[in-house]
Amino acid sequence: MIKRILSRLLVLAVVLFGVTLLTFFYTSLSTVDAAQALAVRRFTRPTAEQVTQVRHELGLDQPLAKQYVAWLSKAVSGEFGNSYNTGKPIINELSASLQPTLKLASMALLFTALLSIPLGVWSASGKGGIADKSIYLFGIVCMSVPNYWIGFMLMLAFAVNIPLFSIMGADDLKDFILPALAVAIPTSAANIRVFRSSLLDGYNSDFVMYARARGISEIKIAGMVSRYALPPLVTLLGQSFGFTIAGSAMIEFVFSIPGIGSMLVTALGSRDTVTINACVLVIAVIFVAVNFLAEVINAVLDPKKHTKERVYDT
Amino acid sequence: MIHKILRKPQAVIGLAMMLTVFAVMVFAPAFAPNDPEKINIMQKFAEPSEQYPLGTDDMGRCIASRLIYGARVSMSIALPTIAAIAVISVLLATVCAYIGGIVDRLFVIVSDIFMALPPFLVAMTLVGLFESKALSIVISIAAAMWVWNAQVVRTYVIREKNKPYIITCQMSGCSQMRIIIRHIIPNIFPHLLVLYSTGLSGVIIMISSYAFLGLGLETGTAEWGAMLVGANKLVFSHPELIVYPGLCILFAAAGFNLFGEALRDICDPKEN
Amino acid sequence: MLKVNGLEITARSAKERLVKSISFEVGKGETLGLIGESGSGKSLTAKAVMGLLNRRMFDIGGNILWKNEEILSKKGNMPKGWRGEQTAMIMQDPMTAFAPMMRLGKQIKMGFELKGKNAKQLFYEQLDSALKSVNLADMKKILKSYPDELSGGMLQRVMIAVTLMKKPELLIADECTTAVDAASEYMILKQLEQQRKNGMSMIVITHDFGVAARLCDKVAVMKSGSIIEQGKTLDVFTSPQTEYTRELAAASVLFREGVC
Repeated sequence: MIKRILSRLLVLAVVLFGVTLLTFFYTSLSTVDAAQALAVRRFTRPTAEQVTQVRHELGLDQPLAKQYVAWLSKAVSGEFGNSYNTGKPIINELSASLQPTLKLASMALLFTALLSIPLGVWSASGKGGIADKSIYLFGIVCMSVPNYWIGFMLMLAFAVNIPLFSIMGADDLKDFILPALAVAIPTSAANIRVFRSSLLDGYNSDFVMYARARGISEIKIAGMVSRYALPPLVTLLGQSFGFTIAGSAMIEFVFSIPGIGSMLVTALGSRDTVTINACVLVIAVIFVAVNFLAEVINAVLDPKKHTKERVYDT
Repeated sequence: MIHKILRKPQAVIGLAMMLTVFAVMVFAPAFAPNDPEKINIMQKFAEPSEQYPLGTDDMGRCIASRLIYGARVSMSIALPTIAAIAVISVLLATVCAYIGGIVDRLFVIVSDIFMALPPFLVAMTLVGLFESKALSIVISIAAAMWVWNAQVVRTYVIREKNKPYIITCQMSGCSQMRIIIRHIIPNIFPHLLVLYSTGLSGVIIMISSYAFLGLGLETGTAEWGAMLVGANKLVFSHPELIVYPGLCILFAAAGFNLFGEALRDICDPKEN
Repeated sequence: MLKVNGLEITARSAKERLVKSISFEVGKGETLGLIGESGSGKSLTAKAVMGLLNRRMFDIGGNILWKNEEILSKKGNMPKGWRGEQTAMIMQDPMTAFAPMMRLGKQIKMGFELKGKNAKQLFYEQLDSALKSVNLADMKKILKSYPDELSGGMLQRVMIAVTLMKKPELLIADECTTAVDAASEYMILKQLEQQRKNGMSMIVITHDFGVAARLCDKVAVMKSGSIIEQGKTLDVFTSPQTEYTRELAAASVLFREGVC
């Protein structure tokens, strides 16, 4: 098992490296000249010389490969440079905005698990029944709307009629309940389907029949089936944490949460390439790390990867 | 197959919803009572009336017309996007999976690296970096999503490739090309249909998300997501401005999802 | 011991009667063979007797009596201790009978109540001798392995060893020699013959007349859900009453004598 974790770590390192390359590549595709944009901001009507000067300052006149190496070596130590927009060190704003987003994503993950597992079990055990069909239909509806719209609806429902939850800010954990719920609902819809399917596969399999034939209690059988059915769900949960962070911008807009999503959108709007790079990199690294963690958990649950290889339901 | 589809109520409903969306998209000028872009500050937040069936928004524009034209905007971006994704992923996946060997392994490794980045993030970044044109949205989303679709298509192709009848074809001297075109693709077609119709609903939602963030489309475009911009302040005073566009997204995406899922049940009857 | 009267099994969704009112008996120490092609309903019958059929998917009618007591209930629960203690089943495909993601040792232990150190010790001793009796000498290695690390034949033998440890009164063997190699088949048949001598009642499900001839006191030939012929093995084989039985027997014999 240790060997397996080590080899996966190696793959992880390679993937992370590839991720940094891709991030840098993507942001370098911008059709807007960052030096020009910054020069305009500084000098209002910059001369050609001033633009060149700015370009040299930012190191943008170097060949792309050199830029990448310089950027990467600094980024590794957290030195992201200063924002083109505010002129302040990116790292400060980054760490400040990462916190609320992480809180949001963690709470969303919790809610997703709390929703997916019981509802998945309920659907599977009452297969074909009213509960199953209702959960299915409700699930499709939830998957057909953007999570930020659900956020608005929740706002309307719970902050107007029942002034229970606040709708702004990110001060206490309480503020995160509605946004986390808004994120959790559509995610759970897909997860429930998958979990239900794995559970049904498990319960219909030969090994369950044989275990029953041996007189093994239903509780122990439930344990066996869980070990069989959980890995795809764990993978999805891990992915959804990353997706939440990646797509946090919308929910943050709705609930006025100053998170990394909003930071990225602002940077995109002002073509602040350095900040964009930094945000994307951080998000991507978190995404990869959490997926890796999910893999590790799965390795414990299912050392032989016998359950379905990859789940493709998005 | 068509019979099976028509027998399933869910598929029929989904299909009906899809066709409604297409109809609205094509015949928008016929359905819309007013010009969706016409600003009329005097009439802002008007109550629903004969002239303005759903009232007006904060700039005095007819909500109903904007919703109707919104279908056009969303679909005219979403359809090319999914088409592009389909073409790229099917071509690449089929070729790589069929040839197998090193090409396939390379494909898997490269796609693993691409898949390490959350697609939403990639698309958002690309959309934000390019100029605000519809085409850039298409390219961005396609560039972000093709990998994930390609992986799935590859699985289907490999599964199909290993079936006995294909091996028989190969033994009787059929050329690779012929096998791919005449046998593999037609047989995975239902699965592809499922993939791309559920994929389409995802793309519609993605487009609305970027519009909501103010990326990609010019401000003021009548697009469902864009209509939600700045809605924070209006949540309590004019909730209908938020509810209506959302319901439209819901209707469109749900139609494709219902149809796709029903189709999946037909193709993969594991439930029994 | 076991009396089955007018057993009917209907699939709810397809509304199809899969087993049409069959009756048979298995006395103490007797071995009954259920012979037939696939789809004849033999496995379903066995599962019904064991209580393994999902009552939401199948409707079961008729009586199943064990030691003259009705055990087939409306709700579907068999009496406590029925499965695993009084009866046991050996499945056809050993590769899928065990959960793929757990080690064999853990899975095997799950079927036993082991309280206290002595009980555990005793369990391992019994398991060891049971495994040795089917020619599996290295217990430690087997317990640590995952199912896919052993061959089908080895798994089948493990299955038998574990099953017999519980000393069931009725053993149902569902096509247990079909999926395994010749050497394992030999071992398994030997084991079953031994149990027969020890007085265990058995139902042997097979499509192989050779196996039936060797193990069974009486046979019941099933076709499309009904028993078309029943009686002492020798009688049925030497003078089959129906055309079907005759053909089935001929096919089996031909294969064994002609081809092998």
